[in-house]
Amino acid sequence: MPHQQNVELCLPFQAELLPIATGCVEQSVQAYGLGKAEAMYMTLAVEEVYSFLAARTSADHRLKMVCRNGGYYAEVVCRFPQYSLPVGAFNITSTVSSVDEQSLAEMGLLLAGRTVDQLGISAENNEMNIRFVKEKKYPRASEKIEEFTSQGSFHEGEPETELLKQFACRVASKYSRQAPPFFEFPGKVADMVACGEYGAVILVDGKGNVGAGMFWRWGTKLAEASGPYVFCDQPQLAVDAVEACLRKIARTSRVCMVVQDPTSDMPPGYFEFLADDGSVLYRQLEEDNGTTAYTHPDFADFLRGAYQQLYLPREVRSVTYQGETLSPASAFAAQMNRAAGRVTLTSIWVGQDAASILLEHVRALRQEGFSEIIFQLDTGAPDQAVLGPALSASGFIPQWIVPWGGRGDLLVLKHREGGPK
Amino acid sequence: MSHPFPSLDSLVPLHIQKIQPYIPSKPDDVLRQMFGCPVIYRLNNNENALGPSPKALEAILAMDPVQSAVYPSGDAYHLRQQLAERFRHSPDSFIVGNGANEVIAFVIHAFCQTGDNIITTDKTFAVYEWVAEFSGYEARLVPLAADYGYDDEAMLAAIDARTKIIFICNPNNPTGTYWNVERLRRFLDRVDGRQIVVLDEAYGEFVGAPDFPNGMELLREYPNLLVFRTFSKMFALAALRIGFLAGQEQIVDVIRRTCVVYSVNSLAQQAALGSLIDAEEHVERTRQMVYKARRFLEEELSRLGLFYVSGEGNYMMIRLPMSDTLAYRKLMGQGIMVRSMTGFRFPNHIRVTLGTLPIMEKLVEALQNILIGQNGGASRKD
Repeated sequence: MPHQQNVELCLPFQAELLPIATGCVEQSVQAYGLGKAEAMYMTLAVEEVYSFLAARTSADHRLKMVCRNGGYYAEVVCRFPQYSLPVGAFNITSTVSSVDEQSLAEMGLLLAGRTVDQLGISAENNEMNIRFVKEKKYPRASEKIEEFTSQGSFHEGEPETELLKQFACRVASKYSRQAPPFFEFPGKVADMVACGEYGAVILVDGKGNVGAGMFWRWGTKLAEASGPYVFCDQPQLAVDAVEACLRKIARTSRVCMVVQDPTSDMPPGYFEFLADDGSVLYRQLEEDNGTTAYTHPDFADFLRGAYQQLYLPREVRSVTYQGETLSPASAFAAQMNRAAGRVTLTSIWVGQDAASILLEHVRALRQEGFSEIIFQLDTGAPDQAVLGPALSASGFIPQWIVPWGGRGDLLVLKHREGGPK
Repeated sequence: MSHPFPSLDSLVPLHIQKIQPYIPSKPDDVLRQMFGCPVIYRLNNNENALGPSPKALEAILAMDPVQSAVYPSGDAYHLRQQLAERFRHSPDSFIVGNGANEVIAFVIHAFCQTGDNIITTDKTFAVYEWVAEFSGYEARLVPLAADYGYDDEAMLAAIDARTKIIFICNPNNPTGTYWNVERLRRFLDRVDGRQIVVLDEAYGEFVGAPDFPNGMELLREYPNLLVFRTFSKMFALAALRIGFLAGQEQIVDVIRRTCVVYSVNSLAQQAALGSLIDAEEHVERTRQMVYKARRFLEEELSRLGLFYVSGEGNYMMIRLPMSDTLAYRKLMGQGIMVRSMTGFRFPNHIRVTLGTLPIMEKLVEALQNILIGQNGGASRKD
């Protein structure tokens, strides 16, 4: 259903046509369920991008815009011919100098990046894509559900709305801060599954009580799971939930599965450790027959050691910067989990100013109170390997790898407390 | 001047957009290099360790390389004649394909249209499900019963007005369970001709049990029945890709409309013809080998305290106290290639091909090694 609600608009970059673009966004995202305020932020984001481009690009260039109902969020994707958009303006650390005319012009882009919940920038086939996402508002769970005792048998229930809502309430009640914050919003959890971006396994007894479950996000190659969550005193339920989850994910396109912060109910024998502290578990879903990992020499030994420990066949290939032309500006995406004090940075665009921009990110994020700053480097993207020296200089230390977490494996680095800020 | 890239969103059907391509394993030389092992013993694809029969080898060697310039028989004319004689059906009751996978696609495309479904089980050969789904049809997956066998009642219950085909893998890959002739007849009687029933006997030649049904004979009584056979497994012609289906002429005539002709090469056709000449001796020798390997492995696995599922076919399934994909990588490091079973919806199981005893001994040794000091028991470190 949401897929059939896509609204597409194609229009030239002419300032007088701006109301068509903004009107389309405002009406579409409200029809998808965003509140007036959220719709306004989304409209503002598109207005800034359109205005910026209209002032700088040829009037015969066109903006292709797709508004999409993502179920629990609305999304707008702007596509336009690849061109020197100052992507650095979207960095969370971007600041604007009131005396610099160029900076003032980019202020709109900065605002665009900050008014939405997620921002993505990518380029392919000579087109640039900017993706804005704004989530819908949901009421917080009001009831607290206690664990229960049951002698009955449990079966796998269809993850329908009411079961998912009960599941979310139970997770929020028993696991509270241990679990991802979205479980506080049962309606959102139901929509997350309904839109197809998330999956769930729910074990239910004959009376409709949810006894256990697992929840995951369907990535392209990676399923990111949480759990297992168990609400009843039958020890076998955790094993059943994990096995049911694996059966569901098997025969899909996902190559592996990661469980971040597994619960104490996680049964042994199903996963491997990625992080030494046990906070990240991992399991391959297919036979791994090897790939190439591109890395800066700074991280090559770490990678070799990690691959040996995980018995992963990889050809580690060193990449260094050798004077080739880079784009002037870098851009990094920041995914924040304020409740956990954790932020995860990824590279959107590798540019000449990577080292200084990274340092600015670290400084700004520490000032905002984030205690854990993570950087995910994609070893399947050779262009990211040149970030090695910038990451080391900024105080990032390799921690673990997530096999097949990106185009290739992800090298996860953490910022060292007391390192450069 | 660069031309605009086509809009894949609008050009590619939704059901194809959802599917990722199947990536086959890399060739042995690459795998040896990747895993750092000097030799690889392939126990992953249920190939016959004895290789092709002597007559099949003769036929392969007799192929005149100059004939590579000439198209093969487009419908495997001579092979169909021989199959007809062997199974006492008409040549037009057979379609030969580029492996059994191709004939699966022929059948699904012949009978299904938008909104239709096929029925199979959740833990079986994946190609029925894949072909249905990438063709845009629903695959209804009925869970296996507790005894690892097909659940006939549940399969019957899953049938609706849009069900066109029911796939039964007999014996089932990977559990080795089978329906005996009585159970299969009862099922076919209840289907009563309303759907096409495909009996996949890819591993049928490995079964010596007297109650194992002979699909080729049942075809005479059940016009909705189709039987699949392959030359890849028992006859060890996997590299040549050749298999066939059999059914009553009127049904086969419908399927032939969806066939790709000339898809089976001349060498494969010649080798298959050779296989039929000394089939009985070859089958007997192979059954002996599989029997010995099974007995040996069952004993050794019991000694190691490992649970296994051992039925018919030239394979066994073993449950490990670790992720099967981790076990795959560890075993590959020792030159043993097995099939990890998560993809068959059996997490923490591997399937191994039953072959010659020296190789089975190497497998046991490698299993022992990976069970010592394993890094597979992660739960949570508190």
